Amino acid sequence: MLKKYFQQRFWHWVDRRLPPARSVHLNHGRLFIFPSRQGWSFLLLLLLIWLLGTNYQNNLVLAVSYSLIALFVVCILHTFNNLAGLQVHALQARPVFAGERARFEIRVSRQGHRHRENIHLSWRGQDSALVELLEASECHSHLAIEASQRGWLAPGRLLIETSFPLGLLRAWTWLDMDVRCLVYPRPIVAPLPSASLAAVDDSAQASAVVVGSEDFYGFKSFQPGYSLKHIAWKHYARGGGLYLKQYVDYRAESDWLEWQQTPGETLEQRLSHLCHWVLVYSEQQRPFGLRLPHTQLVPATGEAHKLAALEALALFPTVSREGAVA
Amino acid sequence: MSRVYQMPRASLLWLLLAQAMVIAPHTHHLSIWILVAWTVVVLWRWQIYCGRWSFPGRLAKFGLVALCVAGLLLAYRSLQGLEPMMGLLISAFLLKLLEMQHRRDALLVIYLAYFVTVSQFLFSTSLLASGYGLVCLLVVTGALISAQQSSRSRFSMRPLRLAASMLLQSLPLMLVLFLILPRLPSFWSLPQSHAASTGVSDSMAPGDFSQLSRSSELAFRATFSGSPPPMTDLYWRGLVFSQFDGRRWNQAPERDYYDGAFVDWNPGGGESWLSLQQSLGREYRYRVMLEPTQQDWLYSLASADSSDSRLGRTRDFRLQANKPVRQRFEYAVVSYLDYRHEVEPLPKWRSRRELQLPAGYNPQTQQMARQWREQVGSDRALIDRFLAYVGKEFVYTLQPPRLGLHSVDEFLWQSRRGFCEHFASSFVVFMRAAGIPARVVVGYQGGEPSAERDYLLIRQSDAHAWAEVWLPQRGWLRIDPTAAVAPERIEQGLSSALSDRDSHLLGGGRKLQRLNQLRLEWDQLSYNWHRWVINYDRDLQVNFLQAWLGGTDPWRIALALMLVAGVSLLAVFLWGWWQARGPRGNPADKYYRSFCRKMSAVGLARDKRETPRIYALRIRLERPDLALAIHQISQCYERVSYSQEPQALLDLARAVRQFRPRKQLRS
Repeated sequence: MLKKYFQQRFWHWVDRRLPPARSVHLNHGRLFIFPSRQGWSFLLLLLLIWLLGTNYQNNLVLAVSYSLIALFVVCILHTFNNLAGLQVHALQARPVFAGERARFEIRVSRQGHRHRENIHLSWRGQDSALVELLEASECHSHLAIEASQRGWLAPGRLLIETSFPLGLLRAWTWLDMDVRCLVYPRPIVAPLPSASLAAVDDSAQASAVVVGSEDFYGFKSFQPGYSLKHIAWKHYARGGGLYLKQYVDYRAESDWLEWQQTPGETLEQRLSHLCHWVLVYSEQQRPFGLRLPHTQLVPATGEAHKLAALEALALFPTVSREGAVA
Repeated sequence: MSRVYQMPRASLLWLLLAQAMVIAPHTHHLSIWILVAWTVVVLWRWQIYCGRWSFPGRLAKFGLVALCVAGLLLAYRSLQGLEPMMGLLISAFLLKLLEMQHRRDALLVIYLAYFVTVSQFLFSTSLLASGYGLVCLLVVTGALISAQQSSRSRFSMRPLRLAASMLLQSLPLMLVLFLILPRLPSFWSLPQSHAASTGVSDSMAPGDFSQLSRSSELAFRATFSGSPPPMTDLYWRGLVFSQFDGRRWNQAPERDYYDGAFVDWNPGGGESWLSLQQSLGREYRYRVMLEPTQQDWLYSLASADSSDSRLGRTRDFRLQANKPVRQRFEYAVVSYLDYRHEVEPLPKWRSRRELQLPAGYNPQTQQMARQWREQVGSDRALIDRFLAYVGKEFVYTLQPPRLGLHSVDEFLWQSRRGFCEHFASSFVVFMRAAGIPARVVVGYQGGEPSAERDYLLIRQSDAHAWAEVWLPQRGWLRIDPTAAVAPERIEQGLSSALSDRDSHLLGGGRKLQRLNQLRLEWDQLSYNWHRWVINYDRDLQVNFLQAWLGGTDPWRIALALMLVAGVSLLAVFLWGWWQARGPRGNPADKYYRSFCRKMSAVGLARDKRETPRIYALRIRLERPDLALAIHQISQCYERVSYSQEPQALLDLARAVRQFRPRKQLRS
């Protein structure tokens, strides 16, 4: 209970100290440093050596113990310097589907020429990436995080830590990189909506064809004013009279993906099916419209339309508001 | 963090190197079995490293542990004492190598390496050993750094460089800690080394082969305040032998002295027999820095006294330490070369002790002694006659023939060849046979001045044996029969007393003047090292603190510590900041500025608003003769600045260097 309280207080304090930012310069105000477990055991070793030196009244042994103490102190600066002065910048992450891993790209760069070795970046509790700036002055690393839920995924605080060069001390910081990743619903296969096919039949005579220039449709008796290109010269040459070739454009059937008619027990399942349909339609380049309770996208095709549809699905209000929606 | 780190591959090489380096100084006292186990472990680890073998199974590990323990038990019989404990530590250190997979294991090995590094100082604190220890410290720290590198790093010298720079940065803090942190006395007694004792041994058998070391190894150093006594008076008494069994001389048992304890440990003096020691004439004050002997007797000029509480005075007027000298030991002595010991007539139990001779040995000597005593009439005349006899007919040699049962008879009346032990022993036997109390004294004689002539070096080859006789109204009187046969031995040292055939036994180096000079210089350095570093104790520390801090109060120490720590850390911090400070400009800018300076020197300065290209165009119109060079430079500059071509930077540097514009001659 108390522990929880203190943890809460601690993270409040961290939040105040390290506010969200896309780009952070690591300086003494943002870095923490403390002896690592190896550091404590090193201090124990020092004590043993000092005891040995004192008991044998051996000045050289004492001198070594003192120089190791001094080394420990100097190591504080070196460990600190391994992180200090770095610039950490978060780049926008590409959207993913739920169940995939969202990859965040972090750029770490330095000024000056001091080597930076063995620095680990990780989102809290996730696996880490190694950053080393030896010859290069910047390094891009990708940190994956499990995207289990659709919506905006905020990765939490980024842990940057190092214990180079001696491993006796650990310097670290938690940065809120103010970065998020859009997670689309997980696509789940469902039969394509039949309702939309029926709708196509109904409106067929109204909007199936329009006069155009793409496909040959039939012949029509000549009327002055038409382009000579459209005259069926072959037919005329056979003595069949002057006719015009008639062309039309087929306007693609546009389907509506309807929230109301999507199968699925839960809201998430429905969204998953819709997501699947959006992907299928986009792959077949069939125009589709999306009609959700609070928003709708008019039928269209193309990448931008697909992304807009997916985003609408991803940001669909969550369960708590389902009642209002249905 | 709970992450388990694999140790970087390159760090294994550093680790093996560090291990070999820190174990090397211990090899002389390690059992051969441990060295065998070491070889096996290193080979095995190497095969693992190359991917040929896998980590050993339980059985193989058990076998190696058994090998090490068996080796330890065979070599030392028990696990008590310093050497077996070191053996145990080093075995663990070795075997851990075969379990080392993770960074955590590697760290344990490195910590053990630090410990083994310091433990070598328990065996030697010489200048050489100290220097070597420093190198070990560097390599072990390098190994620690390499273990902290990422697993993708390759083998390079960077860990060593970094370790060197870090150790260098920690030097000021370490020095101040060493100088001002208070020294504490030892907390508990610890197992000590069982190294063989060196120098003068506790008994002497002149008939056998010599027991005295003939090496030029250092026995001790003596620093006199003021000028030292002449060479011929430098008789450093170590032990007094009063008991002879016909072959071997020994100290008299302590219980044979009935008038109090054998050793007086009270600095003020508590024993009644101390009054038997009367000092006359001028005093000599000096400090002796004794090399470890593993024995408790000390060396001093007669008649010696000391106010050091660690020292005791013995009934036979020597000095003795309160525990065996296992590390270099420095003590202060006051000596009076003119003295009277036991002037009063000897009590019966005393004269019986100093006249003791075993029955049935050396009949000829006993008979001749009584005969000569009757002929000459006085004790002094007998001594003179004996010395004259020895001086006339005897040869001083380090390779005397072996002597039989009646060793003194054979030496005095047949072989007549021998060294100090033979002369001293036969003299004392002869005197005792004639009824004059006498005893053998062993120690060192002489001393070589150091390079700066501020102290004397006494070597093992200066070991010597002489005699003391007791005369009425005079007490004990030193007589050196060797001086009668080889006076140069006493006046100039051993090497001058020997024939050419013998002197090779001392090592030829001593003859070479230059080499000898170097040796003395080295010893001077070594002496100062021990005097000021190894022997930096509480007394020296108090002096130092008084001189530099004006007192020994804790607040002064704390203040000095914080000041030095603060300044040195600030320096390190600034250095780090300097390295990481912002962009130091495009390197090409430097060259381009240099080019612009050259141009403005000939009156063609660039206007601040001109870009390099515009500037080059303008110059081409004004000075067609420079156009080509300027075109090249501005081309290179643009290539470096915008496409970061490394080659272009070199081209630019060269072009600018070679660019030497001349002023246009106005015609």
